Amino acid sequence: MGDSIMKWIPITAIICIVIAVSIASAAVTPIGVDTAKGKAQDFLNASDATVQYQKTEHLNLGEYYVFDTGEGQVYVNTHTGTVERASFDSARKDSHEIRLDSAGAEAAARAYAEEKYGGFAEKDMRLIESDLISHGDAGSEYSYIWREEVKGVLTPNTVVVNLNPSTGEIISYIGIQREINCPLEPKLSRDEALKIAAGQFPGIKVIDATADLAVEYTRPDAQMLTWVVTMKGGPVDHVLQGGLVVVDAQAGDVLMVSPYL
Amino acid sequence: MAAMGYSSSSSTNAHASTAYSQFGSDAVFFFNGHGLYYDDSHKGGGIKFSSESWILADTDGHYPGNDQYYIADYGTDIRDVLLAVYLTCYSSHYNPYNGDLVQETVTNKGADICIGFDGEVEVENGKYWSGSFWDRVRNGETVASAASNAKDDCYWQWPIGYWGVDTYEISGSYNSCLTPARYGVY
Repeated sequence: MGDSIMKWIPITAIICIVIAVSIASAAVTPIGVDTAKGKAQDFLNASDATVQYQKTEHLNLGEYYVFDTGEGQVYVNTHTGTVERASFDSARKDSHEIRLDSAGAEAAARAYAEEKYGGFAEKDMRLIESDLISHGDAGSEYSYIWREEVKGVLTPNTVVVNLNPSTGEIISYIGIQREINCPLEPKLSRDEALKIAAGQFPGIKVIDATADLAVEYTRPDAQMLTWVVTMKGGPVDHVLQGGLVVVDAQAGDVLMVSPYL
Repeated sequence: MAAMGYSSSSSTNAHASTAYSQFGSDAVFFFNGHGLYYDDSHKGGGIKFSSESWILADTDGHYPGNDQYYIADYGTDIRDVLLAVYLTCYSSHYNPYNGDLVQETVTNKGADICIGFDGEVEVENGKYWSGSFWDRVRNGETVASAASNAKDDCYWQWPIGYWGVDTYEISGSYNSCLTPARYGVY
């Protein structure tokens, strides 16, 4: 009996190590560029679309193969193969006249999000911005931004659809989807976060402030629960005071202070 | 800019008088700094330099700071400017006191293209937007395409969001490229 236990322990340990190693290598091994190219063509619903590899881009929230489509770019996540961003330059043409009303534009944006973003309808995606934005002589665009909200926290799971207000064509798309692996309960209250933010702008006379709990990738592949604060203060020497402040919602450390220009 | 065939120079904490006189010799003028803000009803129309000096679109009798220089006072000086970029809060916003920088630069004074921002922009996203914008125009994108794509480049940085860079406005020949290096149409 004693002998058989001694034999089983190392065998079990070896099996665990082998499994752990194979899971880890699956997570870090990127897909090939050719596979990613196929994913880009699938996204464009055109298997014969001309798609040219441009570069690999490393961001905190992931690594991407970037492809030139001739009229825009497609960003394919190197590990999941998911298309997380696309732009369509020709869709910006003739975007001066507003033919779509906001309800029609939102319906078109939502339909696109549902088509391109897996599980869009199942997630608690909150529409946090819906604007008609003028770019002057360069035309206008409707911009719709959804963020997933879990326990009052904005996650990195987001969908952006920008579309031409005249033709309804999609100008650009961003769709991020990640497992949440950091705690969602802050140690720091909203008021404490606002106080810390105000401390970054000595003497500020606050006229407006927002504070959102959000999971952010403050370092490569590392999620952190943060308070994202914007603070506007009355002018000093004809310059708006305040800016954007990001605070670690657990430790209270200030991660970013970015004053208004 | 050098990689595109332009010779370039930059200065930090310059006086408005230096920038104002240099602007007339530039093909591309890029300003990254503070914009003018009196209150929510009177914002935009000016960019701030050292020693409380300002370049303003115009004035109706309001004079921020110590020294003021007006785009409206240029004759044909900036008519051959190809592109002016004012990376500040409210730089494309019309201010009843001091006018509209972007409109004054292109419509009234004849520069080919001008970019400003209608909303609040801050240092970090502004820096990222400009780095991306110049990279993209260097790679041959049109001004409109580069401005739009640079905006999306900002969105998925941390913290996630546009943070005002989506309020960019372009006046003039927005579908132009900056290569080959040249002055604007005189």
